[in-house]
Amino acid sequence: MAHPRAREFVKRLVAWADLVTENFTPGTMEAWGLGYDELCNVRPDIILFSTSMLGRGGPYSQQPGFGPVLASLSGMTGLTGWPDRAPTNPYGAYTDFLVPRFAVPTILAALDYRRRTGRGQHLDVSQLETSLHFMAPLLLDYAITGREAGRMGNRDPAAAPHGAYPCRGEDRWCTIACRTDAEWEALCRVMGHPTWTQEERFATLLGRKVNEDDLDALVAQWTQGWDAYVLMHTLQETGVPAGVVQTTQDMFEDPQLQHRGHFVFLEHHEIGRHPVQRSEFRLSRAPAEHHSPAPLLGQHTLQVCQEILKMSEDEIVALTDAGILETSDED
Amino acid sequence: MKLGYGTITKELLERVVPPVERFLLCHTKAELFEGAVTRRILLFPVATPRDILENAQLRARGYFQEVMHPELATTITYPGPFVRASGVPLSLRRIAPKLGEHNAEVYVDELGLTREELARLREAGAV
Repeated sequence: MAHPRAREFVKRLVAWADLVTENFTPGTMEAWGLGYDELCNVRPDIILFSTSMLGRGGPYSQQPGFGPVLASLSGMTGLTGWPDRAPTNPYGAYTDFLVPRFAVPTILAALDYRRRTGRGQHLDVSQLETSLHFMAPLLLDYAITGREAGRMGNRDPAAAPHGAYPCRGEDRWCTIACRTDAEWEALCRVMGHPTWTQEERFATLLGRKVNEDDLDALVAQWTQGWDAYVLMHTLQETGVPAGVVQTTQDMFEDPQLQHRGHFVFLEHHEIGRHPVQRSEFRLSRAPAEHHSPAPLLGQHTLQVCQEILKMSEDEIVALTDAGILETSDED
Repeated sequence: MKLGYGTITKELLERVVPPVERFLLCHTKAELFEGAVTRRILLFPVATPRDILENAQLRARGYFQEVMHPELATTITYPGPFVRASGVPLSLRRIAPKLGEHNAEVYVDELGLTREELARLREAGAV
């Protein structure tokens, strides 16, 4: 991007585009002469969507960002794990799963705004600020009461029993959540009302919370004789929320997900046949289609140059020779 | 030895981690973060809700906003909007509504019911 012809090329794309998205460190686009003001000179109503870990401006906006550390900065790592052990990162780059779902409606709103007013704008999404919306109740609790949430394993402040309980087989578990006394009584019915469930200390939610260590141990003794799926179905039929802790293989074999056709298989140049997930919502008149797998770097360079920018072969060759453009081996 | 993401061996980790841990234990989260910023190292604190409310970057961007809570007759500190849009100043207009709070606005003002009709619906338990 240091090359002026690279920047000119980008501007040609901007002239065609409705929307430009970028997630470089704030200041990078400006350094390339591609800041919002410059892009407006190319297309006055362009929408520029910029996202960075800490947002534009502020004392730390230049800090390099990375998904897994954002889970820590946003407080999620501190909540994950057991109270008597060090914190552990939530699965994967967790905030990377959250932010796009805020970003997409934001972009749609800007497109709608332009359709109504004719005006584009610059959108600035701080991934930290976005992710904190998933922490809002805990932030409010601290702001109002001074109470700081801590790690509590699989427990919940307003439910007991609540956790993952061992079942028959290797590393098989079923989660159970009794939020009300009624759900607790239903669980006791399924258990066959063993004597311990009639102890006064377990009769109320408060009592069950105070005696939760004993409660969890007693429930686990009972669950470990069960097949996880049989236990789940039995409890669900009785009105007790329960769910098997599923493995990846379980999810591919899950009858509900299969019925929904949730996993779609595509053929990728290098990976071969592999699954992708459908969107989590369905539109009755506009079903999502999965035409192609994720592209290889440079796979569509020629197509973009020819079909969108209407460039001549000579122009394309010149830019490729100068190292401005890259095409993948498939071309 | 060139180390890359995902290529560090277990043996090497076991040698490297203890002295790093000893170093970290001698400094506060804030000291470590400031040192990391100067040296452009990816090191960030495992933040608590308090750390977040006090976060200098969030404060500089005016992220937290005071929103009026009518029942408590005071303002509450809320996380602000999740995007800054140059063309539209976004703000938190009010807190989440209570159940039924906007019945009159919706049923009477928007849908054209009379107040008597709304009262009858309320008595019937329909709203």
